[in-house]
Amino acid sequence: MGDTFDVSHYLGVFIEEAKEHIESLEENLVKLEKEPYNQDLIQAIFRSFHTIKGSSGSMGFQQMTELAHLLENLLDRVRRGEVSVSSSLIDLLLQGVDFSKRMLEEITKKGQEPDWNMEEIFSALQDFRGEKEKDDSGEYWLTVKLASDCSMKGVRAYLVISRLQDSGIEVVNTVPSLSDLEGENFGQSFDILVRTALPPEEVAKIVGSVAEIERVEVKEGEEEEKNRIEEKEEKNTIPPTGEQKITTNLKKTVRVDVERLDSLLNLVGELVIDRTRLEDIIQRLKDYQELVQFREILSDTTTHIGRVTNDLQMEIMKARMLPLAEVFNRFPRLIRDLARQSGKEIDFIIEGEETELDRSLLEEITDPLIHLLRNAVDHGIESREERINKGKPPQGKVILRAYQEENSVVIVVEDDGRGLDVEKIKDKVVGMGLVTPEEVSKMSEREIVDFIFYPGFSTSDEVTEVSGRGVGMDVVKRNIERVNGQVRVESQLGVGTTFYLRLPLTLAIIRALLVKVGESIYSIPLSDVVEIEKVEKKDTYWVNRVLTTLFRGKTLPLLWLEALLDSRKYNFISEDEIPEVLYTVVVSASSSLAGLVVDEVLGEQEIVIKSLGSYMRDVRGLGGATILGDGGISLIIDVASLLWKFSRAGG
Amino acid sequence: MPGRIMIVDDAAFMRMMLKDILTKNGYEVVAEASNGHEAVLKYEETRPDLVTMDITMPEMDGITAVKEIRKKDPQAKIIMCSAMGQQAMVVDAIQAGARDFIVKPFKPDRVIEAVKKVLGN
Repeated sequence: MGDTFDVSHYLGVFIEEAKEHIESLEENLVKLEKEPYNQDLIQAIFRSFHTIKGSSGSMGFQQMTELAHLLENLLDRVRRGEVSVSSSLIDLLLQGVDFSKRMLEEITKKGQEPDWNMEEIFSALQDFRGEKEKDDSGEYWLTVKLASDCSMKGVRAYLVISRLQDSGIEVVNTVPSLSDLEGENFGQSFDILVRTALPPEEVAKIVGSVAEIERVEVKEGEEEEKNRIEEKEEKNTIPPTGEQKITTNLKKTVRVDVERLDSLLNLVGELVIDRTRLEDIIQRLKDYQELVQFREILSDTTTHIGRVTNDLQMEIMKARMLPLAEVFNRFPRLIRDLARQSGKEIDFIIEGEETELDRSLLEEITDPLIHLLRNAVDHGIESREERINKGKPPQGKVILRAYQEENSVVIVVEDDGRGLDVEKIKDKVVGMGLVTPEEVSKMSEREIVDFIFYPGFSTSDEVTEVSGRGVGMDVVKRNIERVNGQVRVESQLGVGTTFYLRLPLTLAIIRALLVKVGESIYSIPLSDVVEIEKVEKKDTYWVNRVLTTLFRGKTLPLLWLEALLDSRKYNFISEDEIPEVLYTVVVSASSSLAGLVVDEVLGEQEIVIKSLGSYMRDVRGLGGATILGDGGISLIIDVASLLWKFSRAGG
Repeated sequence: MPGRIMIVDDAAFMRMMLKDILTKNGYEVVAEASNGHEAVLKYEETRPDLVTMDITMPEMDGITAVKEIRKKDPQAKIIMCSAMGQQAMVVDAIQAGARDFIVKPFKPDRVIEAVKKVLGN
């Protein structure tokens, strides 16, 4: 009866579910490496393999079932304590997961499982199991106390470790680390975690056969390990960022095509425009006294439509929002692999992964983030030796943090590596002929650092396997700016580098302030507006040829919007061109404030952002266009790039 | 049961001191050598239970001598005699097969402890 049962209807569900399991497996396996005794994790991983085995079996994918079966078996042995968690175990399991992932991709494309030769991975999984099966070894922590008058403690510790290894005992870990031991960075005693089939007394005896050792203590068990590692973590003051969370919850959802959501949002956008037009009509009806009744009815209806459109819009927005975890969760694996490749030790910390962002933005930021993280590991974090020489902890730290700030989401990529070398950048930009040595000498550090975003710029002298991918910082910047985001970098030589990505919550609809300048109406995103001020001419001053006023006790440069967009310089405004009253929109971007002088402030309105099209994409200062209620077009001001333009123009 | 020991050091004073410490504790010094080359030859002749080996010596240094001796007798038990600041060389010697090390200036207790432990008595 099973022969005729058609399972192809379930293919979509199978693929989606398997994908989710594979994602959570990658995440959990990397976590397991750090928390080898976390039973909940082991359990979760076991269940994922088990589920994949069950469902791929039902679908008739034999290879995939076999693979999952072997992986599950191996995990079962880990669960029962027969195999202990080691990097090589995790490597193998991840390799198995990779295979499953690629098989699933093939299944997605072709509807059937690929005909691959899986012997190698199968036997690797079996052998791993087999080898450990006869191995009844245990792990002990040894505390070795050296004689108080012991000289050359480092060599003594080295001798102890090499004596253990010569006796066939695996040295799993030491506290302090091996390099600290060899560098004599420890007191009179140190701890060694060993794995061996020998009884503890034998191990103690072996250590005791080395001279100038006062005492050896052997402690068995996992508790000990945990305590030690916790202690270590406390010492490093690493915030426990959601480490306890285990990805087991697979959400019950209806899957909707993203395109469908996109077109829904577009439709709502059209509604918003229509509503604005209706409001416009109501305004005009004011002139017709005889229609006052209709006008009121129309006004009521329009208000209602407005409310409904608002709600509709909010709901669709929410449906499009996804937690950043969707993207962030892939990174521990990436960092782990990169760290292993480059032989660096990296502590990777994720914070704020629950922060939500529009789905399309999420896709746009993935590549830039991968690039920034790769850079951090590859060029940022120094080698172990270099770090020790510099007096830094041997383990490098990379932090990926997200948080919401008003209407934007900020993503921070931070490393405690070598930092950007301003002098090197200077040489490079002069060498590239971008600026003259005289110009460079006048530039601020921040301006110089900004050159890393210049196309074709790279300070790394050698291109390594890891980062030599042809994607430069300029691409990162372009990608982020394309979605109305901003990139900023802060760095201190020898201390580290921090990138800030500021992104709008959504792409499509924003509230904006409409202002009139000459004949044109411009929209300024409300998120960038601090205040609207009426500045009187008598309160203005010239500072360095820039007209300024005082705003909350601070100097505020006044910029003529028209002049800026015209690429005319602000200082072309002559004394007698200044009107008695200046209508000023105070805006902020990247923590700098400026006042935009306009002819008239028209009011606030919801606008649907339309792209300017490729031929106008790179116009600095403009972020798009929108259709107004009367059918007219308003250009949307991109405050960040406008202020950037101002500062470049000679600020 | 104490053992038969060969002392290798280019300084006669050091050899004398070590010999005193060892004989007082019941060990028999069966050979003395003043450089690595000599040590390798005498090791073959006398096959001692243990060798104390200085690191810096003319003609052939202690580390090379350890390697040569271990080539001929992989079971050879050798204790390195090191001066302060020779950490890296002691590590090399351990990698070459030296069993332990003592640091100058010698303290009799430490010398005896190391010898006892290496001989396993």
